[in-house]
Amino acid sequence: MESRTDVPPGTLYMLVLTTLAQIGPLHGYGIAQHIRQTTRDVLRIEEGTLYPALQRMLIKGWVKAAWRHTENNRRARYYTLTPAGRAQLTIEIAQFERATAAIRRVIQPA
Amino acid sequence: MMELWRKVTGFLRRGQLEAELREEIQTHLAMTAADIGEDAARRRFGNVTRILEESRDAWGWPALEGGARDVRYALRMMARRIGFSAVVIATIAIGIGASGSMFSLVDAVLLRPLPYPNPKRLVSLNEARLSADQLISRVAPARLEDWQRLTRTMEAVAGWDVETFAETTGMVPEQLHVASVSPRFFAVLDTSPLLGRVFVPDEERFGGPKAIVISERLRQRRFSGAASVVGRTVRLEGRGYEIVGVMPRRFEFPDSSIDAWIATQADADLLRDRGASARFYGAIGRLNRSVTIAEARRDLDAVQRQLGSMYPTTDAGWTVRIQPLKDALVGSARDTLWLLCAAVTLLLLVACANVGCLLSAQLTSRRGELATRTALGASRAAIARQLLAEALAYSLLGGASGLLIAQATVGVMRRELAGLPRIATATVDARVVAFASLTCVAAAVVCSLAPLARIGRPDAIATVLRGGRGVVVRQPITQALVSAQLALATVLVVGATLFLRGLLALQGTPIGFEPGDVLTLRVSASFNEPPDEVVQRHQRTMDALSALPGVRSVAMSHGIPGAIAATPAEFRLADEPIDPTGAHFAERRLVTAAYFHTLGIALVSGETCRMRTDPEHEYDALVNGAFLDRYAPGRNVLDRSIIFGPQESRTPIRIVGVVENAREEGYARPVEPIVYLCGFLRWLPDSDFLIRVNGEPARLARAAREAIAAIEPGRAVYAVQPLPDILSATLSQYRLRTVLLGAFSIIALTLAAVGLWGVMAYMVSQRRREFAVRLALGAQPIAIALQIARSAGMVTMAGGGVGLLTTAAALRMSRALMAGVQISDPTAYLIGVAALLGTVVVASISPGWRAMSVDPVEILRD
Repeated sequence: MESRTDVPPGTLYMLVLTTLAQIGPLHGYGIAQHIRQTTRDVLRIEEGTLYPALQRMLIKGWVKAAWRHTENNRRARYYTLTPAGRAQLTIEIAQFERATAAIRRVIQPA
Repeated sequence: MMELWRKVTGFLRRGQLEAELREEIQTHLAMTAADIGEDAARRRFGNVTRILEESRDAWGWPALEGGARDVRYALRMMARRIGFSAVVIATIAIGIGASGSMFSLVDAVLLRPLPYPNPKRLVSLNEARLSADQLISRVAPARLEDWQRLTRTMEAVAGWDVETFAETTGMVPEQLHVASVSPRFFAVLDTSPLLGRVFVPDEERFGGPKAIVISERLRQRRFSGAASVVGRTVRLEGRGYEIVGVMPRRFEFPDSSIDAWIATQADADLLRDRGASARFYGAIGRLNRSVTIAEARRDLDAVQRQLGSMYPTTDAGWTVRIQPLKDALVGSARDTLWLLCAAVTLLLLVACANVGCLLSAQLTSRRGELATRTALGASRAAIARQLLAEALAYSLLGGASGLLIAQATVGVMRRELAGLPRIATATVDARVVAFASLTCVAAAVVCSLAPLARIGRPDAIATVLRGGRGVVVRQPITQALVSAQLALATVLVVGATLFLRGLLALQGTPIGFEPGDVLTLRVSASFNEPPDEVVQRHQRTMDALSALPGVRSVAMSHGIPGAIAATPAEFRLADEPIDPTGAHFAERRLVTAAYFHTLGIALVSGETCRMRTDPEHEYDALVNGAFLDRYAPGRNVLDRSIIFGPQESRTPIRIVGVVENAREEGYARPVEPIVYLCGFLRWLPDSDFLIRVNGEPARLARAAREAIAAIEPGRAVYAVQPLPDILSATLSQYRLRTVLLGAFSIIALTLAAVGLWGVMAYMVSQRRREFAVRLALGAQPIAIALQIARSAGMVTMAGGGVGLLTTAAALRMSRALMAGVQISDPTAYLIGVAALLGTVVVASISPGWRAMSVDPVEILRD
């Protein structure tokens, strides 16, 4: 059985924003699926974490939501990245890279 | 910012948002199920409701919803204890109503700036005698012009004098209050007319065209608000004045009764006259930009010193008194209002303390309920929030009712206290509302603070488990609050008693004459009337009044006896050398010969004066006992001549008699040396008529009006009033202080009694079990009642003692506010103590009775 990891703390917004930036408008299930497939099942997003996060992002104005029909003709809420969300994504990535670089320096001493 | 906006709008359509969220999650579940099968999806998904709740929580609604729930709960709790809630709300309402109305009054009378541009630069000016600093005088026009010429700190100075005229264009003569003003009057007040213009220089010089500026009030009243009023003519005492302008309604100077303004048009004689008789202008000035009052005072002092060296006989020894115009206008009302303001603040504190101790006591009786909620998982913060919500609900309801009370009270005060300057503008305005709301919130916080200190302690749960038994809760905060209330109430009671006794003493003061059956009135007249005609007209009017049935005698005086403070004038006895150590001062009262008979002032020696119609002949004068005692003790004054002022020797005056002391300046002022001058009224056409009648003086009013109308159809009769009413009005400031302080202290005492009763009643309910046991074991009921009374007494004594000490200290500090009051009057303190004891008895009767009548069987079985 392959090992699974929860999303590292603080990276959920970045993962969701990146997904929306790459794929375009997507519903919650699609976001979760995409992240799981892209990370080859390593990262799994709990539904209990995803939806509260989406609500917070709506409040902050990073994403917009609209009801549309899926290709299977199901009604689903599609999230779209806003300009504010795009700007936030840059910030999140920068923060993440700074943090990763710092961690790497700790675990790989010169 | 946007985020908050989205949260708020989100809250408003939260139903829809929730439905959407639910659907979204269902869709997600269905999609998952399509992938991995229904059961597996459900297992993976966990608790749908939890996801829903957590997503919803992201919006931050729980706080809002919790708040709404707290308010709903608070209202329900209040409705359940309707009596208790009513007392709390009424207490807050009284406190805020009383303080709100009082602060509205203070705001209108004391705080609001004058309604003229740059009001801080406006000052009031007087002449003041250096040697006798109590001697403040109005300003001579000649001197005013000198000040204007020489000052370097004032933009302009101006003067005015109020006269009453009969306006005769209409069917009936109407009496008008007209201010006769110097040049620059409107410029000092810096106010443009609503219509037309103010005076041009040509209209201000002697002999120039007669022009008049009318008030907006007169335009509405007399000309029905016609826009074309400028250019029309009004007739004052038969002389035509062209209306050149209309002043806006807010322009009420020198006071709100003024109907119109005319230019004085001083002649050359008046502009030379520097003596006492020319000092008739009230004077105002406008300071230059960024000049302080102190700088202006130094400047005017120097100016007057310069004038003193130029005119040594008339100007030396005088200085200029300058004060902010607002202070001058507000006058003695300032002290009254600050005093009442302090009193009402005490009342507000009592109300807050009372609410605090009521809430605190009731909270203790709700320990069971709160402990249960704690046990069921309510956090301490949740309980605190709920209590705060309750306190806020009380405060809001109480505050709203309080504002209504204040609104009503201000209306009543505006009617009843019309004599206070500027009171007409008093309204409960935004600032007062803000003040009241602040007080409300502060009260709410204070009220929640005390209870919060005790809830959530570990013993709360224990209390419930033990069924509330055996715990006697001490209430140090509540008791302290009650003591504080009693202390504050004591201050008010003692203060009010002092004022009441002061007022009674004043009213009981022998005034030295008999005002009872005297009616007073005035007949409009102008100073343009030649003196000889004035004398004839006065005589004609007095004859007509004397002929009326029921009239015993008729006299005249300039100024109502017992109501007018006169300016003392400098004099010397003709056969005495000038006293180098200091001049003699006496009030001059100008009267007719029948004055003493009409008012019942007894002649002590000599004879009463005779009226002289020949201005060249020497005048008769009478002096009072105080004059004799101060300036000629043990010596004869009869037949001696008296000379007023350094240069006014034009009319010789001879003392023909001595009369008893009469309090000419009113109950509150001591008797000063007075010289009564007979016959001088020839220069004072608008003097007062005094009519002594058989029986009720007010009943003669109509007949007197008709009698004067028959012989003087062109004149207005006004100010028809019984003399006792006028004298009573001179005490209005004292009465106002006394009545309001009395009302405040009664309210405060009542509130304190309610507080004390609440604490006692609570204590009894807590200790019923203990009392029952003691009664069952044979204790005397009366012993238990006495114990209750003793507890009440302890709280009271603590409060009362502090209160009495505070009162003594506060009175000593505010001696200035207590004019006319004997502040160390022991009776007042005794009454304060008695009131406190009464409060204790009243407040502990019902709790004591309940303690005595505890039924042991019933309680112990319980």
